[in-house]
Amino acid sequence: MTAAATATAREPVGTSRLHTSEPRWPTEQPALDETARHQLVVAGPSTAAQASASAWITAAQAAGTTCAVVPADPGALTAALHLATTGTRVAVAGDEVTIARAFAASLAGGLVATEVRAHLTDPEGPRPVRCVHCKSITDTTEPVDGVCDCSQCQRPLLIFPHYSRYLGAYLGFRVDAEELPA
Amino acid sequence: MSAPATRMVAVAGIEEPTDEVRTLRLVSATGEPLSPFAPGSNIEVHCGERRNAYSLIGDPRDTSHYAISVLRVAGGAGGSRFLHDDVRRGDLLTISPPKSAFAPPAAARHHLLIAAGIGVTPFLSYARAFARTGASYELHYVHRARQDPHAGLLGLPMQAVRRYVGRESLAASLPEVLDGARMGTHLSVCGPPAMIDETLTLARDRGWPAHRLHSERFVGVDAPPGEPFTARLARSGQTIDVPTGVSLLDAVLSAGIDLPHLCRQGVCGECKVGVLGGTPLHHDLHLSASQRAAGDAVMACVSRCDGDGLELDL
Amino acid sequence: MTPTTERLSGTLPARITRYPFPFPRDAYRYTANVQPAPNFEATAAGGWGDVVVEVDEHYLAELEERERILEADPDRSITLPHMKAAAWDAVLYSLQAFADARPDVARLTIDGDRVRWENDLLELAIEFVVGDESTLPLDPLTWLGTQIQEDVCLLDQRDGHLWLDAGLVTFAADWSLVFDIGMSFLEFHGPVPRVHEAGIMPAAEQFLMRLTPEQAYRRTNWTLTIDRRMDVSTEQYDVWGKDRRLLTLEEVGERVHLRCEVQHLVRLPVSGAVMFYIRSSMLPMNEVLLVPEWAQRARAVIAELPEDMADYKGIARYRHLVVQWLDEQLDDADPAAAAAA
Repeated sequence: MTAAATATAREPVGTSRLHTSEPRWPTEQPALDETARHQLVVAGPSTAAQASASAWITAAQAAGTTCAVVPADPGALTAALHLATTGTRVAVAGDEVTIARAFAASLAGGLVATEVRAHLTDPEGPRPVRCVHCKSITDTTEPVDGVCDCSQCQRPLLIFPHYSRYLGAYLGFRVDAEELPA
Repeated sequence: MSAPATRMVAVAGIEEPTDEVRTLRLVSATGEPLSPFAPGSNIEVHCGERRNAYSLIGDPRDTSHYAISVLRVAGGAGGSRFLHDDVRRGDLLTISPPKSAFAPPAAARHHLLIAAGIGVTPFLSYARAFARTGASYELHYVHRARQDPHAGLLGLPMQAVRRYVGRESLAASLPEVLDGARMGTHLSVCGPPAMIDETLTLARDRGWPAHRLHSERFVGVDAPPGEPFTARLARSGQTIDVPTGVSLLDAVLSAGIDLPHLCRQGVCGECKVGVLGGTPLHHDLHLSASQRAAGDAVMACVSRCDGDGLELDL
Repeated sequence: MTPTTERLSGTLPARITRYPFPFPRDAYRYTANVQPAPNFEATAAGGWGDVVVEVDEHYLAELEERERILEADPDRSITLPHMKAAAWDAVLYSLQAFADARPDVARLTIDGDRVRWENDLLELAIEFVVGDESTLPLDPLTWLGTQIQEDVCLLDQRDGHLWLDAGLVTFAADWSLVFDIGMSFLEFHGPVPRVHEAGIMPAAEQFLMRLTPEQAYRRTNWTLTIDRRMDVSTEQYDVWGKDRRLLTLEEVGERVHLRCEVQHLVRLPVSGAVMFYIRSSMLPMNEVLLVPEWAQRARAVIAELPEDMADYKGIARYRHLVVQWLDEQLDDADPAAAAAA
């Protein structure tokens, strides 16, 4: 890892490197999993996210699948999953932060990745970056391969194209580590 | 992986919990301890010409002995009759090492186990392993009306057992059991094929995704050793016979030809050889689908020939 | 063995004669370079690989270093709840491998669930019960790290993939266990260049998923590390990163270390998890130079390495110094070249 990569422009998330851990959340709304018995729908605050959630709810009702809407707050989803039974799926619409948190809460709640559907309605919205040095997560609108300051320790972080669904964040590490004084 | 060697065990104890079921306790006949195994593993017991697979029902970490439970198959000509009628305490048997064929999914938050009849055997080793790890589980066990040939097996440290008499009784309860399973549950089923199919179909209908569904399937012995063929070496002009059970790599090496090699599993790519004629049977993990389709190279350690011969760039 | 090798083996210390020199040829590319283990591999200075768990002269120092690292950052050891059985498997397998490798200093006795372990190097004798964490002073995986020098990763196999769900990694070379925990095999190898286009990772994962308890395998990996710094984790990048800029030509011999990772791959018998040992062995360039075949080969490999791979390994910024230093030393050592000059 070097700072040299920092300045290089790159394509939008999900269209370039085919084999990394980077998420490629669909920007077109995916259909709900028809095999579900129950559906939990999570939506971010944007108009686009709310519209996406409404479309999912309509589709679920048409298919006769029971459906519940959960606020875009990881605590709310965690609580809902604590009561959920197997056969439940999660669908989440919003920016990358909303998706990352719902996805991480889903995995922690016992779902596996294929039981979660995501719709990236706000691709220009913030993304979560985890500072590898102090372990806190910063939400930033800087792109992958860009730089943001850690909101906790203030270190300037390179937003590396490596992503953990489990933690719900991109890897961030000190961009100028090799330039620090002796 | 190459087929592991067989080993000799002695029958150290025989119990007959019912007329139809015989439980054999097997100890090492060579002094070398037995290997620990994954819950749900089976061993193949050589019964004359036949090899029958039986679930190990003991503690997976107990290397002092293995235990298997054998159901007498009415009118059967094979192994079960041999193990019931001909085997005595002190007899020596040949077995294959344990093969993990139905291991419990470690990541499950809760294990929902459903067994019919003798299908309960793999879950006996699950229960012993779960007791050690504290994993959460429940067993739903169904047997035929009025007789339960396997009742003796359940005198093991098996908690949370719900018993059903007759398939209809289980079928009536299953929807509620499936719908009530908390998030993160995995379902494991063992029993007759029809019962497995019915249970899995019902679970899918209740919204269970495929990766949460597991059923016992006995796997056979390792891939057959392959048909014999002839390798013609274009550069040296030699012709080498590759008999059944011998790899092309070993045949080439035996002929005194130095061929680089490493893993012997078809993965590292070191022993790649150009093919000038003939149709390869690849069996490797190194080549891409398109390279495989091109048929112009093989991994000598695992690849064979569909036909009588390959012409090689050697 | 050549006469030269015999002479060398007689005079060189074990850290050199048993060093797992990782370059079979003058150029390096990523391959699934697995082979059955244990299996002795001769090198120009001696050989290695006849044991799975290796105890060397750095044993006490590295265990102390690990304790210090864990005290500062407990996240270097993680066992997700479903990996408890795998952690116990790892303990039993590793202690047996240790006792097999060093019967002169270690003994393992197993009676049912009761285990007695004696390790004379630590003046330790302990009895514990498999499955009962209260009988060990630490959780099983962290405790295992007080006995062996190897780092350990435990992979669960499910849904057709392998998942990094437990690990004890205090000596990471430019990666972070706590960031990669919970990832699939393909995900946590995401940042490695070239291997994806070549399809190496899916093949490697398929290979690992077919491992059986009867046969362990091993592979090697390598990089260069400045100073004998075991912990070059991403967490600590802001501590060690500047050395890449500050290194001078004069310092290469003492400070630049060839870091070889011997990775043993084992299917654990009861949990069914796949265990990776990562054993990092470091040799300063001064000592690489004591084996002329190694110095020449290392020079060739480091000089030839394509830029993207050098960048990923973190040596792009100073490898020219290493090559230059090796050239100078090799010229000095070669009478013909000296005469020509």
